[in-house]
Amino acid sequence: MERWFRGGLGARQISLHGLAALFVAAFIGLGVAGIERFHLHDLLRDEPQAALHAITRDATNDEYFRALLEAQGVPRSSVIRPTSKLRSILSTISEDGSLVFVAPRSRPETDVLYQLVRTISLPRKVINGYCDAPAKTRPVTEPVSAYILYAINPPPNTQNALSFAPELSVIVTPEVRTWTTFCSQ
Amino acid sequence: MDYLLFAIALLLIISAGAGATALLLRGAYSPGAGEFLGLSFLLGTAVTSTGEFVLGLTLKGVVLKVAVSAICVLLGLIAVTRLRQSIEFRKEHYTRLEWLCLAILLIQSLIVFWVSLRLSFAYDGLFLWEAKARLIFQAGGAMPSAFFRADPAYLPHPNYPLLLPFTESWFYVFLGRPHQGWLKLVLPLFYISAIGLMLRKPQGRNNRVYLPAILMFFVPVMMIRSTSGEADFPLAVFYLACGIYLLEFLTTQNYALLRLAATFAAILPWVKREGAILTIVVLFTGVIVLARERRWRDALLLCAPGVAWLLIWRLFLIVTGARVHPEYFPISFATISTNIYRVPVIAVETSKDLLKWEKWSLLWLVPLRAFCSLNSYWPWLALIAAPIILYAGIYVFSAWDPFTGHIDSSYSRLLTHVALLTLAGIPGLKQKSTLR
Repeated sequence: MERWFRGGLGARQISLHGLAALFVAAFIGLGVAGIERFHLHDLLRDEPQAALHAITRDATNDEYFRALLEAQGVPRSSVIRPTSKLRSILSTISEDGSLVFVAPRSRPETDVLYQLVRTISLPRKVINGYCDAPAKTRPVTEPVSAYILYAINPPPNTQNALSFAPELSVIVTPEVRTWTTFCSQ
Repeated sequence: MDYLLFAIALLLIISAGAGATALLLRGAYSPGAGEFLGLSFLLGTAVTSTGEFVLGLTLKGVVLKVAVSAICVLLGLIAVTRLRQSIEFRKEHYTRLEWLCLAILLIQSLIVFWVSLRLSFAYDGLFLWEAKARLIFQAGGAMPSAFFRADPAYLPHPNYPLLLPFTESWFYVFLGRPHQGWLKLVLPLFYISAIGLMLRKPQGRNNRVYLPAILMFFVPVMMIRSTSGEADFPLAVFYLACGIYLLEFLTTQNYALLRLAATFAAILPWVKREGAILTIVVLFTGVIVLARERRWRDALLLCAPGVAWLLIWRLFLIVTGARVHPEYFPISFATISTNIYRVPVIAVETSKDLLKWEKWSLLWLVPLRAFCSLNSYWPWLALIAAPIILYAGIYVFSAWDPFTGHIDSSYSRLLTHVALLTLAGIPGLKQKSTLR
């Protein structure tokens, strides 16, 4: 910088310095504008409650549940620790058989919810059963230990329906042989 | 208690990495403090993840944890001995401008940590990488062999490399349970490591080394990628390390830097599948330069670890019968001739991605400016341009329908891999040779 004031730089060098400064300024300006598009500053609004949620054991899983169900009109506040609830339900179910996730395929959030349930249930195998596209489901040939229903009401006389979030429940019914029987509910 | 367990897990990683760094440098290169910490974290994740993977083939549970921890402690002792005996850290005397730059970097790092804590993992970060970490944790710290043969419909991409899942599960094992909240503190450490590497001063004092580290924050997707839980940002940091040490070796002939470059080249395929492409680019570029000077021994030293690891990992996948989720058609002339019509579409779509200022700011003007200046250092340009072109070329073989969906969903992420090395070239733009 001193050389600038002493006039020690030629016109070409000054223009190069100017161009470099312009480049850096434009880089930072466009960068800030780009970052603003992520709306990260919105995160400041709901501090500190959301910040506390964000560092919990199942922070990401629970946030996915909240966001996906919110898109279907379910208030976020009614989705309380779904991952922990699902895990504790699964801990009471025999590990011998697979789980079947039964849901309407036509809903946009169904596939992500299936992935979420599949991940939380690891190392158990979770098979997806789509009511409005049964042909897209692989045949279930192995024993099933429980069914996880999304946006489907459990059969009226079901004894073991355990809800872990609005619209999501686990049913342990060994007598049910095919997952499609839930689709008519 | 969790704080303590988390700190122990992190310290063991850094201890292992410090030992590995000391062994590779052998006193022939004096890193700055930030650079040494960055190297220690990166090499530490490589040592612990490889240790868990290899020892996990026969051990599991507490025995595995103790065995890998013992390796970390042993390497830590080696680091202490070697550092005391031979490695001299550069004495840092900071000017006011440098203190200002460091303060800016500190604020930026804190923001990245805050964003990481507040945002959730991205789709792949959760369902691909963290899910595997849970699986490893539940299997006692080792990846169950049945996983590699599992149906990809239920356990996706069993053929993907495992540095990130093993690193995440390392913390889970110490915490005694999977904990996504704590994991959010681990991911920004790759960002901090990148800063440490960018602040190295190979040619004495030069304030311009702060510029890439500061500008990294202003590449909008970096903030998201570095906290998303995906393997792309860690791979970018490893590629940055590999690139800068290779380029510096090519000009200084310092063999400590060759050892670092060769080691990082071997680690790349262990971070993400595309790391194999980056390894090939690094080795090819290095060998061309070395072959022109008939330095065949150096070329062999550079290639040996990377080629060995590529072969070992490939062999392992074949032996375990790892199933592949078919995302690509076979690489053959038949596929090329069938899909040749895609080339102009791919060129347009990928160029659009490069021009998205809201994602990249002016990042891609850096290699463009270097290319136009005609006197730039071509190996650096090759390390940037080759992956950009190869990644685009892969879509000729994409099995997605439509294949443009594959470009939309992945090309931007793949560009992240070369973004940090691109930034690292900024200080050299005004010199005759970039990154020298």
